[in-house]
Amino acid sequence: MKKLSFFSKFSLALTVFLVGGTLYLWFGGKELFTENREKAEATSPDHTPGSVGHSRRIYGFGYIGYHGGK
Amino acid sequence: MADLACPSCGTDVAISLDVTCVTVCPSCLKVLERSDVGLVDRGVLAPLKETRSRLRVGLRGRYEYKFFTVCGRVQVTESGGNLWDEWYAAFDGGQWGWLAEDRGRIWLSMAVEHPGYVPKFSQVRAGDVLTFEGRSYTVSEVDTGQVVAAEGEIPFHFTPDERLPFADLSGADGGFGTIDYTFDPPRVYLGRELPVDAFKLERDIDLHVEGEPPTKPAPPESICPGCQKKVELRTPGETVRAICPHCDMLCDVDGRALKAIRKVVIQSNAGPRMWVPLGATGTLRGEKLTVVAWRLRSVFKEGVRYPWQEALLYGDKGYRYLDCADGHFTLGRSIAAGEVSMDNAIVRYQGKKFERFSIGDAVTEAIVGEWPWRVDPFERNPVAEFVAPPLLLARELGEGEIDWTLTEHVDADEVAAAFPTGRVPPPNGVGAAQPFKHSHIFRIWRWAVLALVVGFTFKCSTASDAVVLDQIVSLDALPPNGTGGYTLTNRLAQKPTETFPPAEAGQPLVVTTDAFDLAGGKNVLIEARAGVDNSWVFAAGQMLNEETGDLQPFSLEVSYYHGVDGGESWSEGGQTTDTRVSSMPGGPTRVQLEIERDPALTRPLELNLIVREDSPNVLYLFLTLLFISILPFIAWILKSSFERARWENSDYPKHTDE
Repeated sequence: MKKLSFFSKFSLALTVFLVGGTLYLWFGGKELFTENREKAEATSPDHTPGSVGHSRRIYGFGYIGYHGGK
Repeated sequence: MADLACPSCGTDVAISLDVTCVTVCPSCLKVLERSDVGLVDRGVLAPLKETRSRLRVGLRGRYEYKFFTVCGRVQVTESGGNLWDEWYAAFDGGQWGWLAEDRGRIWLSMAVEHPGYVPKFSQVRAGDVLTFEGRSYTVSEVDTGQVVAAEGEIPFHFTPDERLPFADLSGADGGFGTIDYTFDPPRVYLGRELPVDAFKLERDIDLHVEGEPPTKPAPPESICPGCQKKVELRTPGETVRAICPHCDMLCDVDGRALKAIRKVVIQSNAGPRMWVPLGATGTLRGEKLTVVAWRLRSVFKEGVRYPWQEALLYGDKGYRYLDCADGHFTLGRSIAAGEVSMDNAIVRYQGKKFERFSIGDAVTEAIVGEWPWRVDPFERNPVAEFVAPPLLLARELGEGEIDWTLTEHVDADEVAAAFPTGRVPPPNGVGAAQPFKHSHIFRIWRWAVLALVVGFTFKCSTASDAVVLDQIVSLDALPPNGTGGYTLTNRLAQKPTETFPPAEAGQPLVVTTDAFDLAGGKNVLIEARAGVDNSWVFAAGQMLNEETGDLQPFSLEVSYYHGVDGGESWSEGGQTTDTRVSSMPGGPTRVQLEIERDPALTRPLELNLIVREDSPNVLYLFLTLLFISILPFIAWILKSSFERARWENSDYPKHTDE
């Protein structure tokens, strides 16, 4: 390390961070650019927003507010 | 063993070997030639010079599995004034060989019975390549030597005044040889340089304990024949020529005696100034070194003078050269000519490739100190440099001699720290052997790329990439007001298609898939395929673990438009899309989708939803490669500029604007 220039040391640190981070993503099952995971607030089929009345259990769709598209 | 008496002084002289031709009387130093009538006086030799050798006559030793006895020794000088020891080693079993010793380096060579073609002495030239016993040897020196001192038994005839023509050979891997032209036909001796610990000696020699001369004799005081002042030699056993520090008289050195040759004019005004005083001591690259000599040399090209300084340093491992050109330092040592191979403009040493850098005829402009060879300040020597930063190979041709020096760049700061009494000149430009200081970046980058590729390959080979859900959502035709119903088909589980009604008025259509099991701890890839055509379908979704309640939102949009504009067809988007989410806890999981679609897309629409677990994301490979390459790219630009500056100073410029 003594012979490394500051530029090289900075490059080494950045490279270790990036490569280490990438390996962490791959082997840790992580993904970037995803929304934060949360806990469902309601689990009762009778009081679930967005229920369409069939037998499936529907959970808090209050999160889904995006109505984009063309 | 035969005991004979010296015909000169009567001292008993023992001869123990059949091959002995000459012995030296230990009392009167007469050369005594063995003959049928006894010993014949062939003249007197000078006393032996102390050379700090590990060997002694009578010493028993072992080389590999062969035992030997050191039976004799000759001290030879060549025309340049260099003196070296050659020890005559008789191996048990009748073989014998020569142990040559020069400044701590030792070579063992033995006679070759059938050497094949041997060029005549008048034909052989330094630099010639000869082949003996299937190996190539470079002629490193062609000269004439003289035995100046000897002791013990010697296996060849000689007289004190006799000139001994020889050619030294240098081969790869420490290969060494000598062609001895005192015989007709010439004898060839081949061997190799050996590490000093290759010998197992009968005992370790402690010169002080044995009462022999101390390892380092006290510096003698010599008198300059020019000014009659005292000259103190720092390396009296090694020095062949010295320049008087008082009157600049160049003198031959023979022990304590100085013999004047001529005065040397110091062109101190020409510069650069001597950066370090003689006698300065410092530790450089782990070696304690003393400056014993210095000279200023130059080459002239098209009327331009290119000077550099050479400081000769002496340490426990012998001489070192510390050169300084434009404030850039290189530290090095002599290497065997046979270790270097040349192929046009490329020189190789120990597998490393050196590019030619400069060539010229060097002249000496100023010189001081004491030199271990017959340095000639009035000589013009062809020199050439070959570089493989931080290494530099220098070749110098002398009279009948080719010398190679291997040096390595040393930062000026390091030199200044080692020799605080010196005035290290500031570096100017880029040195011939100066390494690019950010080169580590490229090595780091290569290792990083390797780690990424190996990591990704390993991940791909071990990833399950398992399809855990393959569900088809068939949306009914879109009514004017409402969402329409839908059916669900699970393509993995063999279960009947289920039908579901439209959403209630004013509510969006929410679809919940069948439950599927996630192993957990792996990323999840969600793919959607829809038969859209100049339309779109959008799903705001979430993945939900039914046991833990963990909920991971995501969104998907399948959008495909195409057409013809101005006679050219175009398209945008596609009928498939995907998104990824981080690992979910293991257990039963469902996907819920709030589906919207293009209001114009009223026909029934089939949406295929596929969920994969543990699917490596190649995007990160490319993104990381891109980011880790930014700094190396900047370094590459800097290095290009650096190399351009280096080669601008070369006689063989590589980087030109043409």
